[in-house]
Amino acid sequence: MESKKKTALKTVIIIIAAAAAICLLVFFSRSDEYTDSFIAMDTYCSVKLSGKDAEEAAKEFKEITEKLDSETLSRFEKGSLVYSLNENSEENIPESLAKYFDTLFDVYRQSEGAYDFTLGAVSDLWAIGTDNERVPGSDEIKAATGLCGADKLIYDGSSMTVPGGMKLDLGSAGKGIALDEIKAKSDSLNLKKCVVSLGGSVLVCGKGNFKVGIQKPGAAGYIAVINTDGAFISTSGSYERYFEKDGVRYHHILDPDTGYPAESGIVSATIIAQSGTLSDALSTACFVLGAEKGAELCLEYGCEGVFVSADNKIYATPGAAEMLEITDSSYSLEVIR
Amino acid sequence: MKNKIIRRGDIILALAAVAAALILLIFQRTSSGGRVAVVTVNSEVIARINLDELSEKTVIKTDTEPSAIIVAENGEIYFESSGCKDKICVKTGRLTHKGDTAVCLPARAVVSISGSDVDAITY
Amino acid sequence: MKQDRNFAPALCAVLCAQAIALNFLEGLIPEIPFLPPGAKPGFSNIVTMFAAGSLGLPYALTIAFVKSLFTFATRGFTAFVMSFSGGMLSCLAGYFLLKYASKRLGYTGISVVCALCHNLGQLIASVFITGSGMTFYYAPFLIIFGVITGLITGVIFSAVLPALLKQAKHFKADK
Repeated sequence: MESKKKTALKTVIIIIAAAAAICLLVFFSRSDEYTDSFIAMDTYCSVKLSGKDAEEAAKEFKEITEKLDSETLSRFEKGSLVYSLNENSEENIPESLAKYFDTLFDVYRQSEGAYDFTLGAVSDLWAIGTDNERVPGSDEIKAATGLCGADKLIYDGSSMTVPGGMKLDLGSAGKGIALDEIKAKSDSLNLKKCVVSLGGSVLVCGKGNFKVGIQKPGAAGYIAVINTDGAFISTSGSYERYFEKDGVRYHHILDPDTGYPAESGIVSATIIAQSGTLSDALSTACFVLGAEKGAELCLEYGCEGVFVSADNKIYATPGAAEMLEITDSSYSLEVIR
Repeated sequence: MKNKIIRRGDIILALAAVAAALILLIFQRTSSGGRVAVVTVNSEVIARINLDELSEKTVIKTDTEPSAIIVAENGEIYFESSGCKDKICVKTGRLTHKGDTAVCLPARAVVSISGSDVDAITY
Repeated sequence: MKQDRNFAPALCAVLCAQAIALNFLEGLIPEIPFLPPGAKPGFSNIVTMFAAGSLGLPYALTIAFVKSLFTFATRGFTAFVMSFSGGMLSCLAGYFLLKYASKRLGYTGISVVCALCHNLGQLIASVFITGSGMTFYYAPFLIIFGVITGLITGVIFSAVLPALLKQAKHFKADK
């Protein structure tokens, strides 16, 4: 009788332990995830966060992005820094922004002008994505490209003047800058996992590993997955914004050299970096340069690159190839050595 | 009102309850395979459509300016047309897999199939 | 337990107060992460179970109702509906089990069923309140949670039963 009671007690204890274990297991596998999406910087943004401050962080991140756009980076918002600069007045560049400009200038130089954040005059001619989009005449383009070139900016590290006719256009780096600001903020918050996507420029950080898909050009879904334990990943693709005229497709990534949409044999360039500004600027530079030169540029910065060609080949730097997993069998991987 | 603290029946009962919970849990986990398309306009979810149990064509017209027309049929969902200029939403094509997302910024409309194997997609 | 006319209402009142006290103590427990908001262990089941066994069903239901009213006053209408449906269901379960299943189930087992019914009642209420079946997602967690709290409550019940009986006798003696 006594032993029977003991067995009964044991069984009960085992039940409790097992049940509690299952509860904990399921609890940790579900985690306290918080997701939100919003529209800022003219793109669709989404956040997926977990941790104690998840909800607060989502709000903060949205604010950072909106504020950065309206106060600093927007070309069209009166009162923004870039707007004032484009009105040719001399403006102070706050220290918090100077580091981003330093990066942009550096990529401009290292890429030998393939990345240029002063292409506003040319992109205004094309006006892709607006009611005025058209194929400009070659003299127009020539005149406009003559106005571009980041080396013509008067900048001493604290104040900047934009010469007449030139228009800064930080559309190719703004999302990256916002991600850097978001990362800095996230470090001061209690977050376990942090996934932020600002119009396809992605920040993943926190505990564990992350999977980031590379968009299938011109369709929904992804063709490959990047495995990382934390990175800034940014893509420039010709499939995203374009228009067609007389059977020719004109996309929105312009070659600073010619003033026409860049033709380098690839349809998208994805950069994996430890800085958002760098990954955003480099993805544009690499798209313009093409796979091989792009890979060299990546190497100089210690970043990794994945380039997708029109004939369904995925070119990857050796480091990127290790992180990469092709999920669409119609694409094949080639490592750039 | 006299009884024992614990009887054999109690243990069987507790075990049965825990077993039922586990079966329910496994059932829930495995049956969550359905693809549910979520349609969001102005940050508000206006429709959830189970693409796997879709029997007839469903058409949603957003009351935004410009307006977008979203169609779900044959296990797919897509922007059929939109009053926007760039038509990125329509060009995105048909969404079929979990995680697929199409966005029309001017109409402030987002269609995505919930649940995904990846954390994010870069584009 | 033989009852005379005033004994039962007086004891019932005291048991009400005890149920409310337990309910209040329970309210101090922080929200449990993976359970629907408002889900509580239901320690006041100790009192309702005792009432169901000693005073009979009407008194037990009264205690459950008074307890819900207290919840209404402190935590609002939603909590009231949850507490009411959970309390009623667990009360009924406790009464019938004590009456008909005492040969097969000990206090612990009855208490587990009570806890499960308590959670089931809350779940049904939350389905009506939120208007969606989404809360049934919580069902497996609620079952496991119910088993654990039921076991604990059952053991506590057995431990405090002599005291409760003594309290009841005290009332009778006073009369």
